[in-house]
Amino acid sequence: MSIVKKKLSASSGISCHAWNGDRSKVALCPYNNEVHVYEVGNNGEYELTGKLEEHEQLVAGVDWSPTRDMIVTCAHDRNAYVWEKGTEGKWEPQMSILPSTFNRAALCVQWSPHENKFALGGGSRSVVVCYYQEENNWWISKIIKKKHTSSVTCVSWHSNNWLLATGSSDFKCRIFAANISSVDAGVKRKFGELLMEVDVAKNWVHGLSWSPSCASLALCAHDSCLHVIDLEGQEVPSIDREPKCYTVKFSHLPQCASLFLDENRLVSVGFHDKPLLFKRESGGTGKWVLEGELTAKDSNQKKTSSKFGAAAAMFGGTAGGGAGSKAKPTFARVRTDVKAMTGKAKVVSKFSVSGMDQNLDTYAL
Amino acid sequence: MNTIRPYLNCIRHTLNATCCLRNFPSQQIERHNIPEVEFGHNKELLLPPILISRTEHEYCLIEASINSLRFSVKVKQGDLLEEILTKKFMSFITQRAEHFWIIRRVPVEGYDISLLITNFHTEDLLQEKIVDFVVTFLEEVDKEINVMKLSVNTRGRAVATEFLGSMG
Repeated sequence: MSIVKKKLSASSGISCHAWNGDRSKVALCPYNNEVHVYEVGNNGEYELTGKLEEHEQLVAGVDWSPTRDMIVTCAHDRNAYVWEKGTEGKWEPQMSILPSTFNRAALCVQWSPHENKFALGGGSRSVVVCYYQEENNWWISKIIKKKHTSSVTCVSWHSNNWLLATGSSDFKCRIFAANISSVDAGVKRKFGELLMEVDVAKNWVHGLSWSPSCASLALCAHDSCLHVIDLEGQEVPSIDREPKCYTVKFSHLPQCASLFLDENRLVSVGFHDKPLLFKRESGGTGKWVLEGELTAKDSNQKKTSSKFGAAAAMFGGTAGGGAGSKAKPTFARVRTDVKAMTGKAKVVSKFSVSGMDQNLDTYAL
Repeated sequence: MNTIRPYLNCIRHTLNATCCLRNFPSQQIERHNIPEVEFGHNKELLLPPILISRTEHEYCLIEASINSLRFSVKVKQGDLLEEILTKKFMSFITQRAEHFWIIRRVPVEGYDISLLITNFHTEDLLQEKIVDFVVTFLEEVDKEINVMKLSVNTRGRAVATEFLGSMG
């Protein structure tokens, strides 16, 4: 496994990032009110090609639609913009009309899999689904309210384009029907219908992710646990049925975001200094276990082979006294975002991690 | 000095675990970002407070929330002299709170000094270094007050000897 670190932020960190369809460009927010678009060259160099400057406060979420090539951003100033490339190659913002009750900071945003609508969660304890209206050439929205009792911290779409999972700081994870009649023809559901409410997390939910087949949903919460909800082959979850859930407790600090590498493997990032890898136990039990940390093989680290060296290491390097025998301190800064870097492939072998350490790290397994 | 070690270690581990803070804008006030632990508008955003005590007279309180953490200390005060010294020392520090970044100007009621750590501190500074600072600070306060107490006593004795000697 290898890690490539690229310093792309001059301030304290990167709050969020998103890749385009063929992973040649990345949009990231350098922890301020702007979004920077970088183009990745063949030699692995990042070139700044565009700046999206319309927000007034910290940009909290960004997502790039792979085929329609549009960027959606949301910020703490409670606005969301859809950016499209204009005729001159400049990114042009399109306004989205948000309901007046969506009057607190927006925290998360995601395009639906068919890229014709996006979901927005925020501090007003509600979720908004925005879709395009051709007659007026703007994005209009529908709100799901009264279900959340605290801020919505993360949203994630099911691959069928109308089920929406949300995580909230009221410790719960919910699944809603988010079908819009003009967009999802053929889906006969009431918009905003609560289909599932899971109360497994013992603390704030920070991140959500669906497995590639959408058979399971992973929850990263502040209780230092990974919760994987198994839908057990149900096409549509029902509110009356208690969902099956596997919980993995770990002794590391809480995790903030997760990504399924394939159906049986998952990687998560958060307050711990290294990403954690989880695996589903073989043997059909469906249980998940912590496999370990992801570390790059460091060639600089020499193994102590001599007897004296081993003895010195036992005394915590005090006997040897050399600079080499001291344990290197690990300074952790929270990592908040993990995104896949392999497009349509079934198994993710490359992913990127961003957080409060100014770098965009790309991991190749 | 060594007996304070387990107390400080306990504080260090607890702080390391509770110092996981994230940027979280206010749910009450539009376009604001306020430390939730100070306002307590939302019960679900606060963690249960933790009290660590070394003795009956020496303890600290850690109150954490989603984007901020408040750490309050009660320093040991065995006699009147220690009480005065602590009061003077703490007022010296709180008057210079802006230089210390994380020190709160007014301590929480019932405590000698309070620290307020927000997510902006953990983003700009290294989390471990903040915890290191807090632990070193506690260690230094303990040491400083002991030293001051000794020097006041020594000076008092010297003055008394001189004064009584000149009388005779």
